[in-house]
Amino acid sequence: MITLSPAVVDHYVAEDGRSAVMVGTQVAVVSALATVVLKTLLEGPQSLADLAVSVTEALGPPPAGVSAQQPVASAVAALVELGAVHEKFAG
Amino acid sequence: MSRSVTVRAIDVTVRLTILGEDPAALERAVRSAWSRCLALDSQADSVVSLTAGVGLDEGDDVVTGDSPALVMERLTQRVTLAGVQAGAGELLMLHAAALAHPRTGQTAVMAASSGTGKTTLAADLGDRWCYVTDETAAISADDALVPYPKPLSVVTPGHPKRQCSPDDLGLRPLEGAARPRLLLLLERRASLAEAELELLPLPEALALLAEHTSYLDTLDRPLHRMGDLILACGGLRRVTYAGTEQLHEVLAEALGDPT
Repeated sequence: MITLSPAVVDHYVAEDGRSAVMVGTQVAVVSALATVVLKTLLEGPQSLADLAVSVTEALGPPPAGVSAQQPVASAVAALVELGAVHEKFAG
Repeated sequence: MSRSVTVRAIDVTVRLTILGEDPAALERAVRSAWSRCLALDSQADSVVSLTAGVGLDEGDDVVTGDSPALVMERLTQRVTLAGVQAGAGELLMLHAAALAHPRTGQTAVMAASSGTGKTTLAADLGDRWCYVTDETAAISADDALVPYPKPLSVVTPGHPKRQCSPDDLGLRPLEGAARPRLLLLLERRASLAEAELELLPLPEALALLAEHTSYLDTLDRPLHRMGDLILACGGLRRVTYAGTEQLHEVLAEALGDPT
C-alpha cells in the first residue's frame, strides 16, 4: 500500500495541473501525474492499481503499449525519494 | 552604569542593555544606526532582552566583541535573528529587500541570496523609493508588509561591516502602509544592456522562493501563503540585471514613477 508521508507540510496545485509539495523544509515541483497521485493519497492509502485508475480518470489513458501502472510506479518512486510518500509491501 | 536602547525588530521589541567599555559612546552609535527602529518599551506586548558591549563575557543573549564596530555588526545580526525568530509561525519572511512607492505604498519585494546586492540596491534606490528593509521582508496574513528599516551593513574591506543609518544615507522613509505588489527574484550578470525579466510558472516560483524564506514550515499551509503572495503580485519574476539603475526602471515600469 502507498501512503502519504506525515512529513508532507503542504501541497499546492497550480492551474496547469502541476504542483509544489513541501516535505519538511524542502519544496519540490511535482509533475501533473504525480500531482494526481498526491491528491488521491490525501483520501487515504492506495494500491498502485487504485492510483493508476485515478490517474487514468484524471489525465486519460496512457500511450499505446504502455501499461497504466508503469508511469504511476515511476511517479511513486520519485515521490518516495522526495520523502512525500511511503510504500509498504505485504509481508 | 548601564544604558539601554529599545528597538523594533520586524514585529518584536528588543531591549538592549549596553555595558562594557565606553557604554555612552556605544549607546550613541546604536541610537544613530537604528534611528528608524527606535521604540518605547511601553509599546511592547513582549520584549526580547539582549546585552551588548565591548569586552563582555560571551553568553546566549550577549552581543560582544573587541571593538565597537564588531559589536555593532554582530548586534545587527543578533537583533535581526530575534525578529525572525519572533515572526515564526505568524509572518511569511523572505530574505529580501523591499522598496515602496512613496505615494501609493505599493512595494517591490526583491528576494536574493546573501551577497547578491540587496543592501546596495536599497542604498542606491532609496533616494527615490521608500526604504522598507534591506534584509527581511515580513508579510502578515492580511497582506501587509511589516517594515524593518534596520541599519544598512556596508562592506568595509578588512573591517567589520559599517552599520549605516538610513537617515545618514538619505534614504526616503516609509510613510503609511506598505503592500507587496511586485515580487522579484534577483540575479546579477555583468554587461547586460538592460534588465531581463522572466515570469516563472507557479510551481517553480514556489520552489525557488522557498529557498529565500525563514521558518516557512512553521506557518499554517505555507505554500498557500506563498501562493497568495505570488498571485497578489501578478507572479514571481526572475530579473537578471547588471546595475541598480536597471532595477529602478523595472520598478518604475511596474509600480509607476516615484518622482
